[in-house]
Amino acid sequence: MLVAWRYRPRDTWVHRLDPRVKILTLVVPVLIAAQVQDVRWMLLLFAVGIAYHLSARIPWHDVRRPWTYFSVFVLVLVSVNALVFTGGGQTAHSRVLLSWPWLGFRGGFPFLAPHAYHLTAAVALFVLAQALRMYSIAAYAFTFPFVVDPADYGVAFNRLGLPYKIAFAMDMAFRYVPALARELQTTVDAQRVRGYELDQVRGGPIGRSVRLAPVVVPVVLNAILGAEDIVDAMDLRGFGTGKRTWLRQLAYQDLDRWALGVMALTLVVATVADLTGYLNPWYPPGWR
Amino acid sequence: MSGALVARGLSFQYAAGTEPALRDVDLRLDPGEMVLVAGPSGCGKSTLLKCLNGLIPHSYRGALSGSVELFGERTDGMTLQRISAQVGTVLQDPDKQLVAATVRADIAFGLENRGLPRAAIRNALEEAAAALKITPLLERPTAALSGGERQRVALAGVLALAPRIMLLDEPLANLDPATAMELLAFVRARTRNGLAVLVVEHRVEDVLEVSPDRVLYMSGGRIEYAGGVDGFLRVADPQAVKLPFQAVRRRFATATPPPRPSPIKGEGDSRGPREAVPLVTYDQVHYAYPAGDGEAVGGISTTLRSPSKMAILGPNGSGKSTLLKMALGLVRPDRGTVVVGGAPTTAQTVAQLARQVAYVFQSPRQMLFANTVREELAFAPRNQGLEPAQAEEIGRQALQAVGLDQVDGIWDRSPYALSFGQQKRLAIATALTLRPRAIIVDEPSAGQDYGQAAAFLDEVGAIPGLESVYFITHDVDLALLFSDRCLLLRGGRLEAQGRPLEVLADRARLAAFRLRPTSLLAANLAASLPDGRPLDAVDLALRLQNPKTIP
Repeated sequence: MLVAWRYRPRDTWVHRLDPRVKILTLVVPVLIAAQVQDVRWMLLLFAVGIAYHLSARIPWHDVRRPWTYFSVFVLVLVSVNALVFTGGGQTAHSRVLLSWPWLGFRGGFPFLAPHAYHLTAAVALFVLAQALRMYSIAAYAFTFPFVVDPADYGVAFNRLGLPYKIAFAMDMAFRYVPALARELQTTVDAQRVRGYELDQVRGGPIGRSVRLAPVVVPVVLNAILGAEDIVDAMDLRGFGTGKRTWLRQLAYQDLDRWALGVMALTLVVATVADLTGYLNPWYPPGWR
Repeated sequence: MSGALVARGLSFQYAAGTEPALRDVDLRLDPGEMVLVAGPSGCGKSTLLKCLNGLIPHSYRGALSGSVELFGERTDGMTLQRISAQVGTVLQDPDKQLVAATVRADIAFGLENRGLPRAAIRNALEEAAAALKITPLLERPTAALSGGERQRVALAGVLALAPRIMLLDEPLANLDPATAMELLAFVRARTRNGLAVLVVEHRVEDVLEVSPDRVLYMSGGRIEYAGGVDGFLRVADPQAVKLPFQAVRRRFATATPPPRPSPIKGEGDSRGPREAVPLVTYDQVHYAYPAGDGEAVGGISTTLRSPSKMAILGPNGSGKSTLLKMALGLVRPDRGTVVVGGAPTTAQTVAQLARQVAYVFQSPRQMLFANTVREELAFAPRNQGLEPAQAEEIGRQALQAVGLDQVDGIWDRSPYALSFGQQKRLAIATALTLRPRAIIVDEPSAGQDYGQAAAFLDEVGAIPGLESVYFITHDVDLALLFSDRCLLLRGGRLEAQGRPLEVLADRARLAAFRLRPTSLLAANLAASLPDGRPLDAVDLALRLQNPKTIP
């Protein structure tokens, strides 16, 4: 069966937002953050994102794992960028904040070598802005499944202009992810009792793919068979044959109008500021 | 006068099939009538339903001949939507029928697809919910429902569409006996308002309690019998279909019984005088799933001894699977200890534990993945580091133990090309390649009829070298006949344990566990056999007829 993300009904202003507005929080902050390079503005976007996430009052226990995995990912990405990024030519002109005389990163093989490494202000501010950008976007993404009633996905996508068949497909796709995770866990258990350990799969990309077959084959085949049954069940209840009514009605409230206004205004201001160069990288006095 | 639903000369062969699934079937269903369709697995019951509700030929390809008429009009020119406006179908697995996120949204789904006004949708869904007594569940996520609740919601989703005909495809398969009876009584009551009902069901004894008007008995894609209940009870094979005990007794009062497989062997039987010793010991174990509400297992202490055959019963969500998965280390207790083979599970890997107690999941399709049966059987031994020749020899022995070695060309066949029953046996064989002392079977009756499940447990119980079988079931008769000890779980707690006839004798206890005393249980209790071992319907009938028949 399709199961739902762990939606937690609560009485917060984030929960009260129309689901269409919440879907837009997955899009608009990305468009804004992509245009901001000034770390001060990025810090502000980060603060707004975190404030939004905290306002939803999601228990830390529920989001600890995604935040942990995401932080590891950000740390790796930022570290690699800090080592290889040259600052687009600005490195030479910005102040060196930190020097590492004996181990650095080279442009060619063997890449890591006895070589001086200089962390410049340009690089430090670039990776800081990058980390803040990712965190600010993740704050909306990690909030979404906990504040949107799964029953609202389809109607919300439909009211945002998607045809109802696609909207319902989106609705089911969102709910299919945790169902697939459950199926995957059962299959992994079924293979573990046969002496197979997923975390001990070794080899190159092709070898690893072949060795993942004991898990991948049953999951994929069951997913296909399960999908056929769901299609039968939907056909038998007349899905996709004519005009459809959505029982759930959505209506924007004042709070939604405010939220849409703020998002639209911020997007317009950010776009104009970006085009006029106001969002370019910023350096503290004396760092350039 | 035309009936509500009439099939004439209906035959169908699936595009990928090698022989017809349905052969020259005629049937008639009238308004206000309830007809039971019975027969062993694979006899064509579900295919018949797909022809009647239009899924064949709209969704399944194959060769179809004959006709279906709906209130006098042939359905081959109708759209699926037009057919489904009159014919509601409840599928076997409610998990696959619930497509929306909440109960309210799911019941509304079909009504929304018809484009009805919202007020009409609201009225119809609330009426259906009230009729099935699920109004308090309307705002619940469908994923948070129990098996019985899900089947009620699936039924409500169909009932809300006000069909004139209802087709039920094994609606009781996932239900505890008490819920099954409530559901059947509800549907039967609707026939008094003119609803025509065709119910395909293995659990014949349950359906007979609501007195269907007629019974169709199918075998090999054909209707072998169509008529009243009494005639059906005279012709149906009691080893393929579970019949009420009194009917079996009447049958063998005058007829010679068919050849019987040897009775199962239990603790202290002909396997020798070996005394059962603890294999798995639970000491005050607690476990709560990270995303669950409350504890799945709440302080259980018990011992699974070996050799023995043990049935674990309890309502859905009572912690049965969680408890047994702890023996394999698939679930690690939050508190308490589980000791297997003298060492705590925390000190052993899953693979080490599986060499003592193997686990066979409900669906064999959750574990089969290889291109051939040979590769499938070699998988576990190769994971243990054995050489290919050794792995193949172990696989050969395992295949022989489950009787699959007699199937032509089995070694090089794809596991997915085997029948469901053969896949179940192959799953057991793959578990046996680990050479465990005991095996845990999760729901042996899943996907099989009673006769197949019983034969399956019989065979597993007779596997050489396998000391013990622990199985999870909802079926009181399977527990009665194939175990020497029962555990009853509810709400994550162990509420009773002991010999099957003692544990299952208490009607009040059965009711609390949403179990119902079957006619076979009642007959065994009434018979008070001197050796205390329950007998199956045929043996008990013979024993009562002539006390010297069964030694």
